[in-house]
Amino acid sequence: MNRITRRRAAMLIATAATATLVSVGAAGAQSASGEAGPVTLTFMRTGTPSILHPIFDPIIAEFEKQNPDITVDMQDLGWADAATSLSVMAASKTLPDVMYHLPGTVFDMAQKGLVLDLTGKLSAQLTSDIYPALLKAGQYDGKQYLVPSGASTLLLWYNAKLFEAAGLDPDAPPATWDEMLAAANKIHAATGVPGLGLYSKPAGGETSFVFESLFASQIGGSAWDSSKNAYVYDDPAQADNATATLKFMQDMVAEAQPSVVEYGRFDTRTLLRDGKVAMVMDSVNMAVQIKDQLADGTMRVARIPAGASGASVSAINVGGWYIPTNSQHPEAAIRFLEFLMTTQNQIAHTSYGSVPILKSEAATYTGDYWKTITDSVTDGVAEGVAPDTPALWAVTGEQLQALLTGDQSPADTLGNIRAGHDEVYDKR
Amino acid sequence: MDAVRRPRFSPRLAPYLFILPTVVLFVVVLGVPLINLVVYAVGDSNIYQGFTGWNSFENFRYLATSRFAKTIGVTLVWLVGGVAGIVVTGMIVALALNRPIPGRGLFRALVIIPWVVPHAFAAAMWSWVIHPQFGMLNEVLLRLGLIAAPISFLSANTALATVIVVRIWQGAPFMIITLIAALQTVPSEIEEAADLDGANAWQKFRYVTLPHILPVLMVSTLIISAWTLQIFDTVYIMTNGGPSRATQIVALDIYSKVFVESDLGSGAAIALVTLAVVAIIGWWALRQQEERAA
Amino acid sequence: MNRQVFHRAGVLLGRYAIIAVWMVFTLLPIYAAFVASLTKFENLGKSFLVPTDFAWQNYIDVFARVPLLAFLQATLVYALGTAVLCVVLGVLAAYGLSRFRFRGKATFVRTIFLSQLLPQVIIVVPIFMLVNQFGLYNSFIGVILAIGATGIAFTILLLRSFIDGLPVALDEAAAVDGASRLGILIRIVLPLAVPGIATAFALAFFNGWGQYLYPLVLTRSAEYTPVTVGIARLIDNQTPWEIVMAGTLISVVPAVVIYLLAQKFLTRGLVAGAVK
Repeated sequence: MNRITRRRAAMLIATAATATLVSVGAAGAQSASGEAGPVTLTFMRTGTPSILHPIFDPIIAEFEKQNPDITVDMQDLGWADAATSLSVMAASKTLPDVMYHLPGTVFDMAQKGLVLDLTGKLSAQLTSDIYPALLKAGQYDGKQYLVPSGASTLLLWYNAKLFEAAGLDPDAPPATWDEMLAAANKIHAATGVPGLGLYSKPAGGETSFVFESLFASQIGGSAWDSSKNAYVYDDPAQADNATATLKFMQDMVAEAQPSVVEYGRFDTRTLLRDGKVAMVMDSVNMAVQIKDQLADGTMRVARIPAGASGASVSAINVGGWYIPTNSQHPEAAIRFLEFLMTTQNQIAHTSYGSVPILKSEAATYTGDYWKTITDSVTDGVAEGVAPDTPALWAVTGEQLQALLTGDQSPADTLGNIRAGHDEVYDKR
Repeated sequence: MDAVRRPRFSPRLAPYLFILPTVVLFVVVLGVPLINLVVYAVGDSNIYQGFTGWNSFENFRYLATSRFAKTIGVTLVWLVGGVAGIVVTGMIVALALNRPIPGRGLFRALVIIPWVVPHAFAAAMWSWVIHPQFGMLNEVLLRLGLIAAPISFLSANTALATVIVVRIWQGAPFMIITLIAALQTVPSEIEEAADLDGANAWQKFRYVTLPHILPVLMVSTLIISAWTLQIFDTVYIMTNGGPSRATQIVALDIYSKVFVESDLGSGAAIALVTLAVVAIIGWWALRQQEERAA
Repeated sequence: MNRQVFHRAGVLLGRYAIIAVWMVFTLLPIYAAFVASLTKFENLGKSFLVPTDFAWQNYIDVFARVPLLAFLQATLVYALGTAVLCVVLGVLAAYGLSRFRFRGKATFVRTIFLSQLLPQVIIVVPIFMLVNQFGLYNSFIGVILAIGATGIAFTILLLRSFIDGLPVALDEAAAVDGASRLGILIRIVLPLAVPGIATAFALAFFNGWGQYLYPLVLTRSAEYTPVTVGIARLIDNQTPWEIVMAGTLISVVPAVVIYLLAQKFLTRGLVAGAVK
């Protein structure tokens, strides 16, 4: 009796499991619809929906008016959700027809055949209008997977009042690393306020970006070798430049607010805003936090100081549009993408928090503020990105934290970064 | 089937009928993912395509590194500190709230708040409380003259203790609610009898109350342990495992393997091994409990 | 006599002291969030000791910035759905475990415990495939089943330890009267297990209330977006923390109120059933 019952129960379970497995195995067989007839494009711009809809709803309305056969359905995705949602959408081949994201992830998906190569499919008018360094940031292995539509560079934001209080000329912000350290020191001596605001809490991309930009300024060129898909500073021949850059970062800690590893970018922005530090290197997103002070001239922006090369070279971090290979309507998607990138529409998008993307767009911005920002783009270099960039950043961020807490010398930090990166490179 | 023909009088089948709905739910919703977990672990897998090919246990290599050894050490401290903290504080607060006391309804409502605050935002709230520059806690301590300089709550030496305290904050409401419910089932006659025997408060707790609520306490402790092992978003947002991996717990390792390094295989391998280790410990703990109950 | 009064007062004082300390600990970050929620975006991080801006407007703006009411509605459905699913299945399974000896019992208990250890970040993708296959993608049911499967273990184990504490003699008396097993469970055991059931209900309810990953992955449309997912979308380069915290605090209130009501209702309803 007992045995019969058990067998029945076991069979029941087995049947249920098999049915489930079979049905899962059958997944993915979706019906494909042709291009004929009205088309609905799904569209996603990662970010805060309440700010994005006012930007994109009018653009979509205009596009639908010009293309009566196409409807655009904009869906929301926050940055906090992005990683998980993307993986699920990619796995189930339900990525939206046009989507915004960061190159690391997009290139990773591209390696797996999930992203459309847009090389040769974009209008010459568009590709020549995008700043070359930005366009390059959307390429991997010579293929254009991403069309940049949002970008940031590293800039030096500073408090003019504190400069004056220390007898420094706010119209002549520090142009070299030594000048910056000296100015910070002088401000601290005169006012008691730490000269620099420094963050390294987000171990990963954000601190890596600072290091990459400073190193680019040290050597006067890109910190990324796109032919080898490796960081230039990982090359033993560059050890002196890399160590000098790390040494400079360590020197900055001495002039910065205490507990650097407990500060993220949000925190250092509030420090600068409240007059608790005199200078912070940060992206254009800083502007939102200090917009009144920028308007009245108390806060100003300058290019980041130059390293040994004598040039101020920032890495440029981009995000942009891509079209997944699962799109049923790639042609309509490309048409919409081109429309998003018209000068007027890009101006609207840039207001979300970006440096200018198009030359025609930059031409409409005037004043010193925009000149400084635009110059940082024209002189900048694309941030190095490969499919395994997040793993590389994790190594760099962790080692930089150790450096900035004073636990590790610049030379050891470089050694550990290189060893960690080599491990990642070896896995390719 | 027997079940259909003779629904009432088949005592051998009855228990299976009672657990059947749960079994079906489990097999259907969790069975396939569990098989997938094993498959991911033994091959080259990524989050976009799943399993893509056999790779001769390559994924398990990370488990032998010194980095993972440190993760295990951190995880043990996190687990023991978090669970012990939740059990002890939960017990104390539950006892304090058990008997009628003016304002009890309000306190019991307030006690559960941390549980309904999503983890991501709780982490943000705590970050403000303990921030070295504008944190409320440092500000108060400074003004009271208790400290001379702001305490660095997330430094390499203090970060783990800090995130454990936050874990206790989040986990204790669960323990408190469960224990209050269990305490209510302690027959008051027995407690009164103990009173008459002249037992002091500790003796009463140790020999009357505790044995009575022990089954619930053990189950809740097991579950809290499982959850503490799983939670990662609080730590992820507060420290991201830093500074320099001082707070890198296993759940964060799994997350960063899967989503940062896009290496689903290694993430699944870590998860599988963790599951196996905890299975052994959990097996043992549950057997203890069953023997006690028998 | 006098000594006893002093003793009682001492105990009461001690209990108040414990409660007071715990309340401060519990509410400290909530207070920090409250202060932030009354701050203008440009002043975030300036002072966290007391509110300076008193920007009550944030509590109105949050409804304009995100469809908070719709989010709350979805959250409520997930929470109630999870609670009902877990308690109904949980009571049945717990009764089976408590009152019967059967083969495979130990395995069943251990399996449900271990289900708590499956890392959600990994199993969520296969669960998505499954839910999608059954046509339950973008539905309340799919999400509730996923939350239920991963959250029911505790309901079962908790209810079982409560039912274990009830004397079997009552069941046996009812069985002699010819009541069926299910009848015994419903009429005899349930009313006595009220504190346990109410607690299990509340715990499952909060489990459903706080879920983030499953609704995020298993739904797409706005009507299925819960508060957790909806508010987390505001997190960005320039996160409007004042809005995030206002939204979070607003969404805490109904959870607490519903918890209190549920406790009261369940306790009263089930006790009434017992008397009848």
